[in-house]
Amino acid sequence: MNNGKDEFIRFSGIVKNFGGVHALKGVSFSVNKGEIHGLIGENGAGKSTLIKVCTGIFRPDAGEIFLEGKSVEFLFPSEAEDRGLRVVHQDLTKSLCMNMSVADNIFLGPHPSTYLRIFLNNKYMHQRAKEILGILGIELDPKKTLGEYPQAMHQLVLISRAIYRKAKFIILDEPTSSLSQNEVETLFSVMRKLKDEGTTFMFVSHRLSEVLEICDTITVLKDGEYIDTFENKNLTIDFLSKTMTGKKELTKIVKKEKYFEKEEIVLEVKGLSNHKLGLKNISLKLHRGEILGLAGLMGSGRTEILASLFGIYPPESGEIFIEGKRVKISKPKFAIDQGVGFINEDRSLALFYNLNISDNITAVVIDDLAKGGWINKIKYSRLSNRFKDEFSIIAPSLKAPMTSLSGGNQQKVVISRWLASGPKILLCDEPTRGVDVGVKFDIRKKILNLAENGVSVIYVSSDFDELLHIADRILLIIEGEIIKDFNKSEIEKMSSFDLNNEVNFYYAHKRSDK
Amino acid sequence: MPFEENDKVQNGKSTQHLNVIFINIFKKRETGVLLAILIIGLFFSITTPMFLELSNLVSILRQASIIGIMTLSVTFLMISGEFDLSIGSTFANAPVIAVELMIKGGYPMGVAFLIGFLVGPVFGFINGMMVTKTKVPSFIATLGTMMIYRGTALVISGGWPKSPYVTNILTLVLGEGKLFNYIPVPALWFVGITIIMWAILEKTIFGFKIFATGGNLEAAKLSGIKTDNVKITNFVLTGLFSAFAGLVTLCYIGQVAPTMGAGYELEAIASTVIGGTALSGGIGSILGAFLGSFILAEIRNGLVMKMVDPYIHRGVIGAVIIAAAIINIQVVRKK
Repeated sequence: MNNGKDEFIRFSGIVKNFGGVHALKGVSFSVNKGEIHGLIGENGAGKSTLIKVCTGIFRPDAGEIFLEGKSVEFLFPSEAEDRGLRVVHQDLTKSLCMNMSVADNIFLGPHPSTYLRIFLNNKYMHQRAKEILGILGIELDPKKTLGEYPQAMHQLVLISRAIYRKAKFIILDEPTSSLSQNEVETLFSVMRKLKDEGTTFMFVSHRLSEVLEICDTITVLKDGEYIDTFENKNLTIDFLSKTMTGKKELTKIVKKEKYFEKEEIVLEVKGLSNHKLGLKNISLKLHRGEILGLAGLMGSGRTEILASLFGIYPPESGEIFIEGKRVKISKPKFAIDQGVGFINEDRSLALFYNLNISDNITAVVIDDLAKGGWINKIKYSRLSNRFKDEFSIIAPSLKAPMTSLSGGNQQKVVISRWLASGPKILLCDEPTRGVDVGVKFDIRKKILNLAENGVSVIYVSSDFDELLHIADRILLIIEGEIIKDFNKSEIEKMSSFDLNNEVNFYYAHKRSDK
Repeated sequence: MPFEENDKVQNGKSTQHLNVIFINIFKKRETGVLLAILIIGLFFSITTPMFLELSNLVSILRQASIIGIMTLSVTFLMISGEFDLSIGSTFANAPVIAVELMIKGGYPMGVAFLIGFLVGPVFGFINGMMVTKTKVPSFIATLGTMMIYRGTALVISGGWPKSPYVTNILTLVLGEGKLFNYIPVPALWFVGITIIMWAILEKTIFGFKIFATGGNLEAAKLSGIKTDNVKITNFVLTGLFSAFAGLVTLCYIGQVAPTMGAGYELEAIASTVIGGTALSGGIGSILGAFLGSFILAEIRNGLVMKMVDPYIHRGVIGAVIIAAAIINIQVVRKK
């Protein structure tokens, strides 16, 4: 294992301003060769700006970058790449061609392997791709079209591309936000293998538990300033949170002592099945004011359950009762009319990027704000302002375009939209995904608040810790079936480790049954 | 092809069982198009026996070849994510200019043809520069040049059809000749060019860059591919092939009219879409475009034989285009 204390890259007094915004105010720290270096901070702390400076997209207004002791200046991103600095962006759709094969994507560029510089040497490309994938322990067929593989594989293809390009320093920007636990493990084992061979990593993430798992050292940025760098020894999530924001991540949320089993049943599902979606005989009861957590791995069918309840996918069999009355929900509109709201797991599928913030907030209730087709401007602004304040949405103005908001604030807009409709039942699919600690806190607080005021919530999350903290009851869902039901007293005694064990236990049994 | 089929891997070696090969060929889009050609042919030959006469088949072959040549270049362009609606106008300009030079200018035929031919890539280059540098969507830009270029053809020719005519080695090789007295020369050009284009698209770096540019423009750019150059080259190709097709037609028909080629752009798009090219870019095949070119020619020929009202022809072609596009989308969805 290479733990050489030679420094690979050093940032010295990096300053970057955009008009009046001071994105980086003199950041200085160094990353050693062969280390996995975590970079954490709230939205707006300067992480993406630093990444862009590092990869040559921005030039710093002041300060220097030293690579292996020598001062460097990048005029173009290609210069950074030539020096072995590569970044794997959060938004993978910008870097991959779904219509081409895995090997093509690894070799994507102006000079894939050729005969006589004109003819593609597919044989070599497939061979080399197989080699690289093999070294990284990734099971992908280089000849298959990339579009046929699920999203989690895409990241690994990008890392393979970086390896092919002999990257020495790979920056991973929020790599795990769409990965399941297993896929994260695969990513981490790939990273460790590469680390052994001398590759240096910068791991930028909001998921503090993962940062603690994989990183050797962790640097914290706050408001464009460098706060500190810590060696990963005896660090805790609370400590990191506090350093980043001044708030502790999960505490300060007062949990209710109430038990909900005696309350009125607001939603009842009996035998919901859908063969195409893989849902098998889902039955559940939701009480008024209760937060029902759905735990499970990605792909377990939880999103599909919510989508069926919201009318996106008509169920093949089964019944749904809202407040005791049998309902048929074949379209989202019918669900909304029954008082159901749905916070989508992918906000890019919910937001209207061509419209402004107010438009987005009022989207569901716009009919109520209009009379005879004319929008009542007063009601419209009052509603949007109310949520902007209540939820502390940070934006220059309500007329600002959605694209000007950070991820966390965009998520707040999506949630506001559903809160505006005053739902009886709120279906949340990963509502705190891809946002920083501060926003996670705000969102969870909001949802707890709603539940206290009588709204019933079904909460899907891949973060076991989050679920254990926020839910009154938890259903464990694996491969479209409800495997186990945990009540409040059980939840209070459990940790995420226990939930993980339940999953592993289930799979172990399945294998032995075969 | 980016859609490489899955080899069965056993013991680390790759083996393709015979049934797997058959199933894979059967599943391919191009097989479907071939079947469609045969079925449509069957339909027409049953209802009008004259359809199967050799001279008629030759006629279909020739018609398909002329637009087919243009369709091949349109396929490249559409895979890279752009459209060219001006090809019909460019098609007219090449022979119109050549004829004017011969009649008014007294130029020798070879020179006149060469100059007319070069107009194609020039018009294409203009299209390419406009689309890549001004960021105007190609649909709109080439809609404009379609009309501008049609205007140049009308102005240069004075609006009248012209007949310059001479038969010599050049015209025979280009358009008039018949191999073994049956196979029209345009068909030979079509097949030859198809093979070359297929090789370029599937086997060369340029083809790779076309798929990348059309599959994800941003990713292609970020990886260092000069996407503007890819697109400009494809526009130059559509211009070039359209001019060539125009000259071939002049050689075969013996006269030129400034209105010729009108509507060809939509037929070319339709043919390539039938062959499996996606309107959104990134997906397409030369073999598919080759086969697709025959469908429209076959249908039009069949309708004429059945003496269907010519005004209905357009409607039928339109319906075929829509059907093909719907099939394309269903296939993509299934993946």
